[in-house]
Amino acid sequence: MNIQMNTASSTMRELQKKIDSIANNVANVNTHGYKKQEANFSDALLYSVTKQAGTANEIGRTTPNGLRIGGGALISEGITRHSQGSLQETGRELDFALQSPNAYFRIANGEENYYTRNGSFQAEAIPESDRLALTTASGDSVLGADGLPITIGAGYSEMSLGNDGLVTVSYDNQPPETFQLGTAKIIRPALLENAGDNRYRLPGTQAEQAAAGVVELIDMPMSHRFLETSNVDMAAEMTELIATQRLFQSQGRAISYADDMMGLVNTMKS
Amino acid sequence: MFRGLYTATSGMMSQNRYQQVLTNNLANASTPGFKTDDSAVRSFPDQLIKAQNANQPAPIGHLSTGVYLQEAIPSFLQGPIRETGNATDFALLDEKLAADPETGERGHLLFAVETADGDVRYTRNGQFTVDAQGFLATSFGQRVLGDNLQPLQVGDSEFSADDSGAITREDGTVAGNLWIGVTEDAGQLVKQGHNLLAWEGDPDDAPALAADGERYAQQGFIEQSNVDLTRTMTDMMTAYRGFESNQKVIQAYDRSMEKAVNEIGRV
Repeated sequence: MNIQMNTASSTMRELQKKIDSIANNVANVNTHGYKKQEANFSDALLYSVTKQAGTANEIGRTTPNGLRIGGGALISEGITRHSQGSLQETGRELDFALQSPNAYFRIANGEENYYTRNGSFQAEAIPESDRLALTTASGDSVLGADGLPITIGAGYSEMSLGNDGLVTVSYDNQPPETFQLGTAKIIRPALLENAGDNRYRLPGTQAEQAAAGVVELIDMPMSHRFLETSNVDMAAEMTELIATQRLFQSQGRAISYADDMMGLVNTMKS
Repeated sequence: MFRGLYTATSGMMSQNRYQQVLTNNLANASTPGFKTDDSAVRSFPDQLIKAQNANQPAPIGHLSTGVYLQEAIPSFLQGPIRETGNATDFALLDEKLAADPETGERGHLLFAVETADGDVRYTRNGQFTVDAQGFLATSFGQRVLGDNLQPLQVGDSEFSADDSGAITREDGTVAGNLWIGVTEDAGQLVKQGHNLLAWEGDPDDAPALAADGERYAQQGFIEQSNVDLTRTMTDMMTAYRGFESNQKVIQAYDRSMEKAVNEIGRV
């Protein structure tokens, strides 16, 4: 087996994953509430080769016996960076932005609970009713602090967020209503699992998560008529892309060296 | 048999090994805390060649019987430091260590982590994360040890650490101090993959906790790999050409053998 070719090709495969994650970050640079993903490398397990029998033949060594040949680099699990993105004023009534990095909106799709940072909500008509359901862009219901989906009257005129965290919905010809957006403080962001559509999932039910101390279902500060931009730094991503691509190229070079060397072996008897 | 045929073959084999070591260095050029491996080539035992005279054999000299790649020695030179701004990233700064007054050499600093089966391993990769239970851990889940050799529970990733490695949680409680060890003989550390280093020297000389309260660690920074891309590429070219030269030598031997077999023996 050609160790060198193996090392270089498996490293290329791992580097490709890093390029993929950079591409995903760049693609989501304008996605509200997107959190960038990072790929970390470590050295792979090693092949251990013993060259000489007996330590008596190994005089003058500076390292312990044996020869360890590395198997290239290995990507460890992608880490999501939950740092706060900057806030962008939109002026839209249904836009909310969270102000601390570990705060999340609680949303649900049927029985499934999710968390999201994207506070760009929609008001969707509920069939055979004069009320509107507050939903996310992908159609999940936005939950209130009581854990139930939020609904508002169809003909609302204005929405405002008070210092107490209550959202007041005013109507032209009926008394105002209030609701509180359901937010959660994620104590263990490392457990958040990407569920697609800008949503995250935690293992277990919401009650179990709260009992395990993974999440606290409390009111978190937010801004109204603002959205949180993604925390992707384009300059950093591009620099990382360039460095990764060059490293990818150098692994290709290592493969061609290995190939040329095998060619030399094959042409030894010409 | 010709004396140098197998010597040239051993040259090819060792250049091939050298190339493998270089490829691995290159592969880990972006692995935080990775230490480049320098190769040491060693000659097999020499033979003393003597000329057969009528009654007194006259010595001609020594002849090497080949070479092999004996060891890959990790170079524990400090890698460049890069700012990441992540609270869970730490870089160790060797130059903050006091130099030995006699040799003028500094030791090398290390973090300690605990493997799944409870063994202590060392690492230079300070790119940590917080695991599901709130412990500081490596990206492969090995927990990072504090100066009492117990895992450090930091709560969430909003903790702060000073440059002596003392960690304060977000709520102001103290999580403990990072175990920052020092060793004078980094050559006894054996790479085990996943950025782990095992101590294979005398257990009495194992890395020991560095002087308390010194400013060795830097939060929000990582130590990059100390692989020099330019040098590694150059070395790979050299290794390739060395491999090629040995192949040519073998071909030359082959032609000599051809002459011996087919021409000298012709009647």
